[in-house]
Amino acid sequence: MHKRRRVMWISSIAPMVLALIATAVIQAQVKTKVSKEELAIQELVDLLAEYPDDARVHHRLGILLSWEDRREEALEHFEKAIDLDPYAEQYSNTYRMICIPWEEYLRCIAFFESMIEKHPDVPQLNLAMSLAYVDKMPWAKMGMVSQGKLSNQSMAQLTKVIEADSSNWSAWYARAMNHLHWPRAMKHAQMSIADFEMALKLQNDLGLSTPRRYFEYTYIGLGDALVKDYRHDEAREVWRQGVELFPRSAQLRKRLSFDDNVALEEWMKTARALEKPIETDLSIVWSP
Amino acid sequence: MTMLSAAPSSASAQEATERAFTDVTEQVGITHTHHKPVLDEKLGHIMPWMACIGAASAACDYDNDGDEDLYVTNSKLGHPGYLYRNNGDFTFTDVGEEAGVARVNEDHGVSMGCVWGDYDNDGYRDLYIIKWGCNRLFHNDGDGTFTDVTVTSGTGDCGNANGVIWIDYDRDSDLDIYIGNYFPYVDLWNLENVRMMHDHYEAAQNGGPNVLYRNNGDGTFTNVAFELNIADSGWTLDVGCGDIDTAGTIGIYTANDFGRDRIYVYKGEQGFVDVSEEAIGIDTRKGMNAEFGDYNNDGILDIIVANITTDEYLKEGNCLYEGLGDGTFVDVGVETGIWHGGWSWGIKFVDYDNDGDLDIYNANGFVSAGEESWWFDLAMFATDINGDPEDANTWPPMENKSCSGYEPNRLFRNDGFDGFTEIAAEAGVDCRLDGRGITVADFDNDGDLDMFLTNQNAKPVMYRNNVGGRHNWLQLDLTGTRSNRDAIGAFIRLYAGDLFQVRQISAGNGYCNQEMRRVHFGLADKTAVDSVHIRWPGGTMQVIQSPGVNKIVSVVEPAGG
Repeated sequence: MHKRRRVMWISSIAPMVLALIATAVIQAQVKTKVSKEELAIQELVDLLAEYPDDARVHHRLGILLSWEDRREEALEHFEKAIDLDPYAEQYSNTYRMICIPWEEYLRCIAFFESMIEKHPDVPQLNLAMSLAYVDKMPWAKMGMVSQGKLSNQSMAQLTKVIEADSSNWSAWYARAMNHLHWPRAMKHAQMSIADFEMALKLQNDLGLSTPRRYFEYTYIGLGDALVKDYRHDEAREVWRQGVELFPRSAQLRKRLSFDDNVALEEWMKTARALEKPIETDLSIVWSP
Repeated sequence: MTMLSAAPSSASAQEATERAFTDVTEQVGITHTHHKPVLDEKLGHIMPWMACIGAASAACDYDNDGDEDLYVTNSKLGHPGYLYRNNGDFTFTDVGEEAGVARVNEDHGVSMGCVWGDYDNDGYRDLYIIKWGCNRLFHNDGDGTFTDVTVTSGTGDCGNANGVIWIDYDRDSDLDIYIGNYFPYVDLWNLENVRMMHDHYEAAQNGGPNVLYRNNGDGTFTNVAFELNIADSGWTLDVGCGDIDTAGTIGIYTANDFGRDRIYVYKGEQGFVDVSEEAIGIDTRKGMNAEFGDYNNDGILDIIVANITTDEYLKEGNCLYEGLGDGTFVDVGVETGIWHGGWSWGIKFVDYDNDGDLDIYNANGFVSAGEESWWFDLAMFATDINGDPEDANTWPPMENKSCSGYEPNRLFRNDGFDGFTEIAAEAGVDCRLDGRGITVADFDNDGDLDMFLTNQNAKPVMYRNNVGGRHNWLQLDLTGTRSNRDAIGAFIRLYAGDLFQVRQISAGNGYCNQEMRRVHFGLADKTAVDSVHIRWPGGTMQVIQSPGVNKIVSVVEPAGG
């Protein structure tokens, strides 16, 4: 894998996992001058021989193998990790994030389909599945109608998650983003607003003295959805509330810099263009 | 993107644009209205969709009197087609009935397109009419009448065709026919069931297989499409052909609705090879038009493909595939400014202002009806994860709703390095009827290109070009001797000082039209042409030095090669 690409998705890996990988790499390096990644992989392979059902080790090994561009092996270990611990959102997230640059959309969707069949009562899998549909949307082989269908398939999964657990912030947020992506004429704006408002309520209900970093995205999204519903003033009010919590947010400040609705609309056309992929990296939720 | 031609000065471009065209339809004697088809009533709830095509025309000097005549289709059972004979003074007389080519919609379906070609090399161009139903071939008897030779020639395919070209794909000096079929082989007036629509919006392959009639040289034809691997089963709306590289490799382009467009190259015993993915990549749009021309005067043919674009629902955009010379293309539709053509149908290259580069005229508009839009219903239906588009019964009713209706046609003026500028309104060609095909020809032999626009379920429009003598021009009338007599496939290079242009003779490129076979070059202010180099379809090379300007030059293929 290219280094740049590695940096792009490395943020999706939980800090704890990174620390474990680093330890394995350093330990391996001390022992011999053979490639540190190779040694670290060998360490984990040895560990797996002892603990074959340890999801954490499979996950870590998957990451290392992906860095070495050993695609098939990496995917198999990610899939094993998810199968062993389907509740771990991080595992599904890492898997999806690596499937995107490798264009393994079909495999990813098929895998989550099989997992849902095997573990029908695990909403984390429905969530991952819904995002896998969205990940596929920008694929070059997809036309706009197919993209719309994928978005609908994604929302159907997210609705299942919300029905099972109405306090799942990720599901509300992801569904809101899905709705937001649709062209204005398709009349999804109000549904997007409703979902963002629910996500906002959930994060406020946490009563945290210091807001989590990802709260910022809800303010951005809710304001954008309000613009799509021609409620520009309300959008600005939401963004202002966001800036109070996140004074250095470039995205919120950019939006507030438009006094003129026409200019704001024009800018929004690019910022929320149909061609732009929907961000699905959920590591924002567990990253500090 | 490379734009090698010099941009005209803004003053001259402006001059050429103002009142460039005048609607002269009635004064030239063209008075008919196109009638749309009315199909099986099981399709009644979406009849406006189903009946949205069929208005086509083809130019040809069928009586060899030196001016361009017109055949125009009609698409309702019992309604005639029209053969407009040019009276020589830019007026027309409909002689379809006496010529024997009017009653083509009496049975076995209705007309969807037409194309002229001299299949027996007797010097008189014959007429092939494609239909939803059984196609017809009319032999031109040379005395103003035609004989229906469909049965004896074996060309009466009963598919549901929308696109057709004459092409000498095997270079054996006689013309073959390639037909793009749309619906599967069903009788649209007597449907057993309505499970006959496309099964996907972007990858449908359940359309009618295309047909390639190989000319056997004895007045008969054989369908070799399956044998030669070109029975494309996409929902073909248009077919076109032209050189796809600098080596003279002829490619056949199929513009497919609801799925991938394809480019096929003939490889002799191997038959046709699909080179689409290398040539243009994977296309998922609603291809409707395949027109070849060299928009940037680099000597390599480019391809323009019509797609659907709306401001709010679907942004597919027209593609302008710029040829790179090695058989591959890059889409420069956005960069050049021709991307948004609305719900596009026929698109033609036309140097309307004779300034030496190809401009683009774009007909558009799907269904113009009531104030309410059907787009929302369609978009909801199309993106429904449980939707089953193949079953027409599941489609939302159209009622009296419009869908991309009342769109103004576009005229994109080629401004050289600056790309294209849309000037339809200033030029007087921003017709808002539901446009389909554009036939480009110099109907009054005055050295500029007029345009005949067919509109669905409406009157056509004849646009007389007023540019006249503002710029110089040259037209070449080629006659093959060793090659097919119509010289279809001939590739012509013109050198006039720093002006370099190429043209290739085709027969039916672009949706629902056939342009004048005579080759037209706008020369801007060049007062002399240095030379013209012709590569005949059979391979003969011919060079004509100093052919002159502002005239029609007849060229006969040298016998000795």
